[in-house]
Amino acid sequence: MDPSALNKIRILDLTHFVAGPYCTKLLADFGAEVIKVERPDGGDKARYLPPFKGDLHGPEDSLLFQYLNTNKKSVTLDLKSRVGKKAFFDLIEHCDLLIENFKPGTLQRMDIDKEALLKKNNNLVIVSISNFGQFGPYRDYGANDLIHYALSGLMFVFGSTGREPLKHAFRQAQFKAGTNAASASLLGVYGVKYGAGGQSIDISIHESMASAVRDTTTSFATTGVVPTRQSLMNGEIPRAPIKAKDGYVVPINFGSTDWEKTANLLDNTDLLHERFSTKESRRFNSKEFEKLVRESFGKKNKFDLFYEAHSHRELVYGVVQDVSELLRNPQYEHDQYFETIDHPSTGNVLFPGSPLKLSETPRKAPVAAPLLGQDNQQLFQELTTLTTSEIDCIRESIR
Amino acid sequence: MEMTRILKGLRIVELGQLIAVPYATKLLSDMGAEVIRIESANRPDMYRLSDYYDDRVDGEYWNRAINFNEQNRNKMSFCVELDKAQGDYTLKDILAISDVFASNFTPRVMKKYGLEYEELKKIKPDIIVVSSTGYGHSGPWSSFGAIGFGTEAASGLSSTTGYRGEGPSQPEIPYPDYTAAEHTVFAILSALQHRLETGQGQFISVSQAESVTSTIPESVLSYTANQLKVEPIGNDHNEIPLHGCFRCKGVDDWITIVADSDLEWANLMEVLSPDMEELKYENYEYRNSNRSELHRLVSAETIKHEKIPLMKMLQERGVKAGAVLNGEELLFDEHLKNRNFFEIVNHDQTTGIPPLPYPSRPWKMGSTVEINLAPPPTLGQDNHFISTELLGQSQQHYDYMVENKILSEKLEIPAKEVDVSRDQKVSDRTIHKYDPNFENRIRDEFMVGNDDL
Repeated sequence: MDPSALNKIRILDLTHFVAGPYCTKLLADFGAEVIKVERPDGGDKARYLPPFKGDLHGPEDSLLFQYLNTNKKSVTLDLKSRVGKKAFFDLIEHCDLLIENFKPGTLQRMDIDKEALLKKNNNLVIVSISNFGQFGPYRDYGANDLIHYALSGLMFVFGSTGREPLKHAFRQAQFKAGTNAASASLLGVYGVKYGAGGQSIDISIHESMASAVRDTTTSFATTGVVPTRQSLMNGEIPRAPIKAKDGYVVPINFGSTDWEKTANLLDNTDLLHERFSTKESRRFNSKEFEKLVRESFGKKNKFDLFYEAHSHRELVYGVVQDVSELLRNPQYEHDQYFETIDHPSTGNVLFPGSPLKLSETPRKAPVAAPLLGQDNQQLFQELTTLTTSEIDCIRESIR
Repeated sequence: MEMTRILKGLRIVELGQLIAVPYATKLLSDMGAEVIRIESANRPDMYRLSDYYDDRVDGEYWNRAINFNEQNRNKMSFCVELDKAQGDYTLKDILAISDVFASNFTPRVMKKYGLEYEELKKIKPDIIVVSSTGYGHSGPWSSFGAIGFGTEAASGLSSTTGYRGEGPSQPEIPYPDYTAAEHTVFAILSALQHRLETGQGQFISVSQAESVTSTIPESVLSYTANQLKVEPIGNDHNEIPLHGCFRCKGVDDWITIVADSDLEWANLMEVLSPDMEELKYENYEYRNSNRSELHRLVSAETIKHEKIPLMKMLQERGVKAGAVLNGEELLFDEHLKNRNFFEIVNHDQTTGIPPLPYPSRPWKMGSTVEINLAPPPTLGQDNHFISTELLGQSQQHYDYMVENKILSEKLEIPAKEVDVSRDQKVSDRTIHKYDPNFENRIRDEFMVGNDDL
């Protein structure tokens, strides 16, 4: 028997790009049956997103797509066509969840609205992921991660004071929303069990970000203070990456650490001088302080600093690692975090694994992302009323 | 219409600190779960000990700790010393009637108090035990304490983030705590689903560093497939010619703009520089290979505009644009207001804190779902209820525990004095600004106040 946690849940997955597919990846990896519906002309546009392996650039070759779509099945449907719609509504009858991330209003324009869906399956939970949610003044605004970083407030507290605000690399907002949507999906499934019935759930990528920037709104609501970006070294060592000899560490003191401990860690007796012994004196001599601190960090190797800091319980320093270091990291190795997936088009590639370990219902061994429409025949036969010729017709429409 | 609290009847015991677990259980408590927060007067959550409402350090300051309150709405507080045998037994008694036990202390602490899954399973066979750690529950880094700034560094995200050509950069909030918490919510709900089907509990381990690595496949796969390391490129985007942050009129006011296609560029110029006669910019290749020139051109125009009206003008023309909002502007943002994203939470009367708008949650459920929004607990507020009613202990036993300081409702730790005034912080530029009138602003904007209590 499949020991997966979510093996009783079947999902019709109309998502594309990153946020939605990460949501359904989480659900699929923990056992839900995810039927990914793709358009016959090219499929999910994430199939064309980098990184690729070497020169391979076909629709099956995007490694990002492969990461986001493990353990899923793929069917192709043109939801604007009569046959496509028929198959879609047949499938809906067999599913617990419909998860989509079209622009708000898109499905309705194809006559796929909540009423029609619940009429077909009154316990269906519809999860809609969009940039700004299904209503509100920004509903139709265009956005990508950069815009979300700005409008969620995260960017304002990111970077150096006086300089341009920053965002994280890549697509953090998308992944955040995807994770939250996966949780909301399960809440929806519980809702059905406990009497809330079928319903639609609105996930705004913007709000997923804003939820995590609670520090800044709460700061204003409770003290009137508007936080800003990283300040200069004003008698304190900022909790931000600082250059060591061979890379960067992040100095973090947990709780009330005496200054001596930090000075000892940095192996610099000058820092124990009374010019730096108190907060006030460090602040008064801040220029000299900064110079000494930077020199001291610059003399030590980052992992030495990291390990030595962690031999004191109050110094929970971070160490900046790049991917090559992660691949050799003893903790990641212990967790067997990275995993090889063999894909018919790209062969073996090492992928990120999961941060979650569930003792009794472990994550499924990853099945490589589906080829476009690979499950048409089986799923249409099993779950829809399509005729053989209609199924053939769909197969021929794949481009 | 009858409303459902989806997680009603679910009891979660939380031995948490700061964000990674408290944020996760906050979201579950919103959905109706009963969360019992285990606290200690000897070793209080750091969030009880810093940043108080209106910077007031008098009296029971710990009940006015702003981050604690915001992270712990709906929860009960049971303040018990686990170092004392009676306290330890009491926690085990609570766990024997609970569904989930979640903690973000290191495994060392859990072991010390006999709170490992194997032990707890004996008390409650179908319990779900969650361990959220910086780096992992077992293994060479498992004993290392961590907060988000450390795990962000380790995760691989920092090495790819920052100003172009410079070192790594991190935001001023412990970002990975939320990433870990979001994955934790998903893991708990998955385990509950399994328990519902089979009656079986289990052990969940969440690694905060790994939770972030799982959200940067672009970086990992560039390296594992092609041995390419991604370097920081600021706000730039490899495939989009104009993708950046531009200064606007005002103090530290900025707007982000994304213009990729010829049409988006034309629409952008129509707003910013309608008299532009230079034809070379109409060429995508030219724009793509002259990005700094493009940046200067756009900056020279955005500085003439206020960020929010400019954002609206651009969005109306189909150009992706977003004003960089600060904490105050986010709180008053018209879109979030329209969506009731900030929800009003009351506070215990003894705190003197008015009802306040707190961020709700990253999902909006349908109209049949009832959301729980009760005040955050004062320290040890539920000691008596939990001891005598939930556990059925005698009043005598309760009195004994109080007398022997196994249960407490007060801290004996002095408040951390506010060493730098808010006005000083403004002039040091460690904060953007301070509005002494904030209470009125909140009351007027959200139409709440002490009068409503």
